[in-house]
Amino acid sequence: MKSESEIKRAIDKYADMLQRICLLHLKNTQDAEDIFQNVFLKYAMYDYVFANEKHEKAWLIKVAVNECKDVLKSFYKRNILPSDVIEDMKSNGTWSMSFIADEDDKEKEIVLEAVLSLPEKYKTVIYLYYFEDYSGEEIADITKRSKSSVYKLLSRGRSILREKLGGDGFE
Amino acid sequence: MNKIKEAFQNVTAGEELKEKTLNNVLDELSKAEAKGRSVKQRRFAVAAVCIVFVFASVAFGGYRVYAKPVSYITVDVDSSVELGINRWGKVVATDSFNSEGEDLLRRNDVEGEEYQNALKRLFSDDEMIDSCKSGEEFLLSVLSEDEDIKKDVENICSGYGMRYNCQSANRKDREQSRKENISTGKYCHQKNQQKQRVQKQEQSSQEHNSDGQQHRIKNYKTQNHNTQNHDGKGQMKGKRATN
Repeated sequence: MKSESEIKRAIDKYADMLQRICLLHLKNTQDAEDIFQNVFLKYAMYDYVFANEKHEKAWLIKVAVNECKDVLKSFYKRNILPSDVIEDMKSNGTWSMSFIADEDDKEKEIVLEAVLSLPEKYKTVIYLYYFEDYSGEEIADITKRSKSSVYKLLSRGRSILREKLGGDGFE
Repeated sequence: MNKIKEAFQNVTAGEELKEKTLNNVLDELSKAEAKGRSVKQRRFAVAAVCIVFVFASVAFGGYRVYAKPVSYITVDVDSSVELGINRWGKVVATDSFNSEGEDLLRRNDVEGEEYQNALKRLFSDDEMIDSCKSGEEFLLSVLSEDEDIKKDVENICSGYGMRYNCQSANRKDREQSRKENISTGKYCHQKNQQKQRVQKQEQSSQEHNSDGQQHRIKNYKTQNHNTQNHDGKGQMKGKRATN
């Protein structure tokens, strides 16, 4: 079992990342609180020592994605539009999305909406590649897919984004 | 910096959420610690009973009976997989027939689960949900002496709102599909399609034959009629002849 200071350090360090993963998969902000609690509780109870920070981060991503998938199993939740999440976040104080309030920066919101509207299988791969700078091999390890499948998803995801955003400008 | 990075960079967790999470986690940990001792003792007792039970089962060959599949379910969409189910309805063997199926089973380790839960877990996989949403047809086959399994499978499929085709298979189908290295569901589907094709061909050749016969009769009648028209005596001759 981990100490209070270790848990606090992990929350401070990885809360933003977890928030983004929740945003990718969840359809309402209340579920995110449960995910946070479950993921960090699992972290606190995890008895094994992580080899390094990279290992710790990858472990947290895996646990968080799985937790989100458990919540998402309801068909209803899968069918709410991504724009609903953003509206939900705008009106909810626990989620901080500073640029959403900024009228001049609508472009970022459009990019974000485009990523959120991708089919489930592309979202995590696109996020890990473009935001967390993971390589295809590392993503394959985290998502338990084969390398070729990850590259296929990346290329299809990119072409959907290209269609939605009208060009390669997002890269 | 890419735009996706820029877009996500501004998504951060609020301080309130962080604080709430830390408090909740610490609360849960202290509750768990308080329960710890009694839980440990109980766990030890349960583990001891389980060990004795497992040894006894192994000694009587129970494990072999447990691990032997008696029914099989195959699922084919993009992924092609087979679940082997023992007499207690648990998945004891899994197999894939393509790389998508291999990936699907790697992401969802369903061995040891009830077959209903295993199917639900597979159908909840992102790939499956996407296939379901895009209206692809799911080919399923059930090989079992227990008819309830097929009904269960169909109910689960209906619950997910998918387009599916669920067929009953027999041991011979499975053996044959194994030889062709495809799933039993796909094999049965191909067999049915072939049967339908042959039936259609037979039907169309029958229609063709009867059409030909009718055509010949028609030709004969027209020829006869023409002869009679060209030669006015024809009719009379004919009449006389019949008389």
